[in-house]
Amino acid sequence: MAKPTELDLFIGLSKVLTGEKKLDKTLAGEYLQRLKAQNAAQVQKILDEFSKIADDPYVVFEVKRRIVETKETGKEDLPPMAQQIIRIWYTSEFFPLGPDGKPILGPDGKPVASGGSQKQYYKGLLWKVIQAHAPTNSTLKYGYWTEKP
Amino acid sequence: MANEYDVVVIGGGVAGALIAWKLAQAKCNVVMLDAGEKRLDKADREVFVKAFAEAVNTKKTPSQPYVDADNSKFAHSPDTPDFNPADAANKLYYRQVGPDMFKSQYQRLVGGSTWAWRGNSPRYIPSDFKLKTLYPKLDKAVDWPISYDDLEPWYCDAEDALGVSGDHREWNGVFGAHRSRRFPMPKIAQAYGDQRLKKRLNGLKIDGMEVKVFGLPQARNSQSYDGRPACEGNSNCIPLCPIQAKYDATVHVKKAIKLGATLIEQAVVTELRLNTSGNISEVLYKTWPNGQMASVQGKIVVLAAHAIETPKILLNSNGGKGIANSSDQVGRNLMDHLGGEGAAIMPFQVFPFRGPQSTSCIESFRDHKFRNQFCAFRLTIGNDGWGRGKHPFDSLKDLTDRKLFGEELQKELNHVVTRQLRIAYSTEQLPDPNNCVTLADETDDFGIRKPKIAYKVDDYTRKGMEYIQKIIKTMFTRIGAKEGEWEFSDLKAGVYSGSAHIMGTTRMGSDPKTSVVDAECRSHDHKNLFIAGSSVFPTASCTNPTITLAALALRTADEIRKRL
Repeated sequence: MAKPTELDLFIGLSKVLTGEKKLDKTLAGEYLQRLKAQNAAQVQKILDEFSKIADDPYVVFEVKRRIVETKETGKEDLPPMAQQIIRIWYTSEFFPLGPDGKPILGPDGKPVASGGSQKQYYKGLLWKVIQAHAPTNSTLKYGYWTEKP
Repeated sequence: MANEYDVVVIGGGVAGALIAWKLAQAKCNVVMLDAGEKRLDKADREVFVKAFAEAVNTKKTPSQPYVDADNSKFAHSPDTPDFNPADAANKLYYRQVGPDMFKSQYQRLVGGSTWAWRGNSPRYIPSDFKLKTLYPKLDKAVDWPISYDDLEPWYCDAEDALGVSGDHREWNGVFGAHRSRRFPMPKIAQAYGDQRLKKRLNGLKIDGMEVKVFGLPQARNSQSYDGRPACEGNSNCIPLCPIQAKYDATVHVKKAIKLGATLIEQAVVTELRLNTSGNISEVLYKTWPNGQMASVQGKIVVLAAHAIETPKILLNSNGGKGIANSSDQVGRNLMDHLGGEGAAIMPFQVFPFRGPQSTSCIESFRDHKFRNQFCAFRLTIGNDGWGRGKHPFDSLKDLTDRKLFGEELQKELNHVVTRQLRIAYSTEQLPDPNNCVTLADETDDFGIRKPKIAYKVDDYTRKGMEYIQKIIKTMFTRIGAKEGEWEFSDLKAGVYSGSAHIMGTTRMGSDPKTSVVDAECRSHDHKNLFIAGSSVFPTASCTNPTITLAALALRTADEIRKRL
């Protein structure tokens, strides 16, 4: 079996983190590049960790134990990186991490966000999960809001 | 001469656009000046939509989609950062001297602040026009020089012009506000969550006042109207409707141009000059980006630049000596509808972010037996989760901070956000001469002195907010929302928001000693100067001002037409 590519690993990890069974491969490539442009080392590290458990029959349990909730020394930046991967898929934006594994702060003391394209904003998983659509992106007709989705 | 017109209209927002349209219809030679850019085409709107979508969530402010770097530099639209104390050291547009923060913004581009309004269009009620007579204990209250009945026919025309969707049976006679004409469109369909709320609140009375959930009249199409489509529920009325189902003033700017009016964009008015007769002889402006000075002349000049820019222009005029101000009221009596909200997790799903940001309201407290003691108010039911208080992106962060991921995250996110509902309140503020717009020492890039704002929120409004929160808590209890899942604006910390309903700074009145314009909105001091917009409101009511200022603008246009 061919060794999974970096993109394969990213999609595999993203499925576990987001809870989505199917993810858009093109979008995955775009998100991977955006995350790497800001946090290349942390992305490599989280994918390396995931590669060890990607084929585990209890992959969700392992991702929780070894990535999302890990307190292992030297792996402190895995949980926040996992959080940013969820954020980018759900919202199209994420908060780049500094060397300390915490979001980089702007002059106003607030985390600096990296925003996505219009298409990425519209494809944010959050809107689907809450059974709505991204603002400005209704594909429905007048009055649909009177009924539950 | 090429720069001579019958009428010069300063400001291409709803008041200016309606006046330009009506006078162009009457074959007058009209020119409109606007400080911002002309963005009237479908392609322009698509650029705005893209700018909105690509802004990070914390930057999705009311003015954000509209202002490119040049527009922001030369015709700055005040926005959230302009009333953020943390940024006070920066070169903000407003110079705020307190003691409280003025928190409302407006848009400086052709079409004005209607780009970023929600379209809410309830009328004022008769008592709003005679506050002093009805509530004599209120020292600061004044009566309008006109009554509801005087304005009623113009309300009808304004509703037709803007395209207001509403339910005649619900609204006819509310607090004595009779309606002589039906709304041009049926009411906007009420959201699923609002319907459930309405059932739970049915029959509730608080202090003898019955809580009734109404369909909110809105200048948003419930069907195709005036060449614009029906609302498709894009959940983004503020800051931007992507399909123009919601009215904005570019509608009437375009109509005016089609009838022959001239529009000069990127024209920042620096001052009005007087002739020896005391009339306005010339309107001076600078065009951006090059700053070239130019002027136009008109038999009539209409100043419709909203309630901060209008007094700023008047005070900067006549070589900085100011005009139209023998009453010393220019810039004074600055008012807003201060607001806040109560938010709760409902015991049932309401499915926010589907449809317009609000479709229902509660009007039961527009006039009440306590109005001598504290303010009137109205409530709007949000269809946008917890609105300004907590965006779904924040809920997501909370859940991922708790280490939720995968299917568990989806389940919890859906559970929380689909039950989020807020009830927003909007309060009446009394006119106070010490709440005022004057000129700062600092100048903008064109050397024009910026607005300086002194502002205080008095006890009349603050006490009202305390009462309102009790009302909303009673409603939440009735609905069955758990108290541990309520969130309220923190009144002890002095938390309030602005509504971008800026009013009062060139008020109308019968007495030239205490008002700036007369009942026709003509300057007491300069007979060829008219002022349009909410700056002429003597009192604020607690109700969105746009349909009232639109009605007044149409009335003023008719007055001008008679004089030409």
